[in-house]
Amino acid sequence: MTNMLLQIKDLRTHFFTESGVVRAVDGVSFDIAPGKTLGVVGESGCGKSVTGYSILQLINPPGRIVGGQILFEREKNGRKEVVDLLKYGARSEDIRQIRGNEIAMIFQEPMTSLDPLFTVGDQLAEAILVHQKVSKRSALDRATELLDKVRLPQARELLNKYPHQLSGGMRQRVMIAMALSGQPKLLIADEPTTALDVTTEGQILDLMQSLQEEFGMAMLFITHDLGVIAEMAEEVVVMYLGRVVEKTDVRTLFDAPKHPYTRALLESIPKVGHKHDGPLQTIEGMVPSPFNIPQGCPFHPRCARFMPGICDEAVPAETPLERSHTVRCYLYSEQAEGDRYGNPA
Amino acid sequence: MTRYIVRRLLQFIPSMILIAFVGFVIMELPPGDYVSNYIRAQALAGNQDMVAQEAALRQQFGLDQPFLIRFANWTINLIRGDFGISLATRMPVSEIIGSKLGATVAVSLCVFILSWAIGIALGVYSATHQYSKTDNFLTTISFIGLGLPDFLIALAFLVLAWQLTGQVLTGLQSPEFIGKPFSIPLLLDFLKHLWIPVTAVVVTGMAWVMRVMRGNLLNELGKNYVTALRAKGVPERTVIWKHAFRNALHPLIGALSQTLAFLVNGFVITSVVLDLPTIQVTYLDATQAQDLFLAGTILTLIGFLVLLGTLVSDLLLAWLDPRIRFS
Ligand SMILES: Nc1ncnc2c1ncn2[C@@H]1O[C@H](COP(=O)(O)OP(=O)(O)OP(=O)(O)O)[C@@H](O)[C@H]1O
Ligand SMILES: [Mg+2]
Repeated sequence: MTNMLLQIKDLRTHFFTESGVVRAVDGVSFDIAPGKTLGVVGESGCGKSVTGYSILQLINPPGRIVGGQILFEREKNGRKEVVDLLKYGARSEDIRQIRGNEIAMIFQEPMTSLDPLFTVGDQLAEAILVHQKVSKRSALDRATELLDKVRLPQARELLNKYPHQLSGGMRQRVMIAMALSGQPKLLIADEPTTALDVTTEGQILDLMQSLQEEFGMAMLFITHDLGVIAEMAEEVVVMYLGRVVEKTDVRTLFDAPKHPYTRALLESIPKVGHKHDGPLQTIEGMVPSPFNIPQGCPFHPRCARFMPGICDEAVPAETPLERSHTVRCYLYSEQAEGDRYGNPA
Repeated sequence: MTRYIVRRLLQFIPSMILIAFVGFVIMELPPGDYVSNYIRAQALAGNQDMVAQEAALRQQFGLDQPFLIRFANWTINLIRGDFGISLATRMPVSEIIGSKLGATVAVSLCVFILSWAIGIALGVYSATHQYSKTDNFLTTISFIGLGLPDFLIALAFLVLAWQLTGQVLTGLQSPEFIGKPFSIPLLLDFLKHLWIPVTAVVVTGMAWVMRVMRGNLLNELGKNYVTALRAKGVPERTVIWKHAFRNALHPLIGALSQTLAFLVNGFVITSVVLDLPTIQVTYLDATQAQDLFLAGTILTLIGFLVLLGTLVSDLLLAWLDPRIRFS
């Protein structure tokens, strides 16, 4: 447990909309070790992106981080110190210096993640210039190197291109180059390949893996694709409706998943090499409305192993199994979470 | 770029002819012409002698010729710089327009600069402080500004000024200053009159600019690239002014195409209500009197300004947005 790069403790991010409070992230905890990749997986709307955005305090009104800690180990003047990122204001100079420099982020929509009015070179140079005292010229030189690193050919010419002249895959490479400009300790990747075709996806994933090795950075890899998790992640957290339901290493996730939700997710993906007849099996039932998260274990209305009178009462506690494997389910422990959860915010 | 501008300017010519033609046709639509109106008015006043001169008058003004010939003659003269004479006053059209241009441009320019400057500043403030008390207040103000017609605001100011000072501040100058050479008292007198129409029209104009600015900027601030900019550590000021603001200018620059024409075409009712010596009033009177050449020239001027405004806004958009520049 020691020497973690990032420790998220009981993070809660809620959206106070006109039609009610959305508890998008409601008590999420996990750790990321230096240089390792943690995968975050779950269906659409379970709060993966909000978790990632919360780390850098990129939540906009009506959203607000209402609780928790995000402990980040950084080196300052040669000494290691642990800071709680949530202690910094969203507009503070402290968090600004961490953004893009010590913790970088890439996004799901490469097509819209660049400002359409500026050249690739301008935007890459900007990322460098907001953190380093160098001339525009040397920033552009550095930008060219970074474009080479993400294997974009003819980097020099690319500097003068505008985003609309680039394909989605190229733009995502530019975003990756930009993220690398500060040599971050942690890269938050929010479904970086979801919007891309399969071939491009494979290339980008390979690229990210080799760059991770080269730069020695940790990754928080958000995806809803278990295939991508298998390829990229070492540790995995499974999220459902704003909570972590299971946490384990990637082998155990596929070999011995414990939570009924994780199992259902695994069953819903087609097995490679198996012929599929009929429609894909998906998890039964609908994801409940985010305004109306079920009492008790949030998964109980869709759960095959639902135990009336138990699962719909209180939120199950996080139960440690072997090694670093934990699960929140009454099948493995009768313990309920304290009254911290389940009451209206 | 130069070639593009030249090409666009050449395209002006057919468009202008079309505008002038349509304008001419519209002027001809009501039954009768200027002469028959004039004769009727004279007859009603008991002046029966004029009836006999009807044909002569018509010939004098060239109104007896077929429509197309009249139009062609007028167009050719127009190109030569001869706008014809006003049928009502027998004065050259260019002289009439020239005498109104100063007042029109003075009011319009003040209105334009103030409403855009204030509207943009308040719109940006409102958008970057969404849900704050000031934002709510400004939004309410802009709704009121949009809801109230400018002539009503002008009337209210007029009455207010009258109650406070006992002066009726219609027009742009007090009678004793009209036609006098420039002096400091004349300027002060002018400003004393100017604020009423300017403030009244600015209230509505600013409300519109502010609403568009706020809406666009909020829309831009919600986009992915803004989050991405913040995520790479760009200071909030830069995020707003260098990036989101420029993107949000798009629709406003588009609206600029109409703004130039608004300078001679906008706030007509306010001009009438306040008895301003602007071209708006001249145009209205000329249209009602079927003062063919005067109205036609002003209409053509408005058409020209619309075209010019469109060109300017297209050029600005191309300068701002590479996606337009490269297509
Ligand atoms: N600006 C917002 N206003 C209101 N609710 C929001 C807002 N942003 C996110 N949410 C809510 O937060 C919840 C989690 O959203 P989030 O984007 O984190 O999901 P996700 O797991 O990333 O899904 P996806 O796979 O679709 O990206 C959703 O229920 C969503 O409705
Ligand atoms: Mg997401």
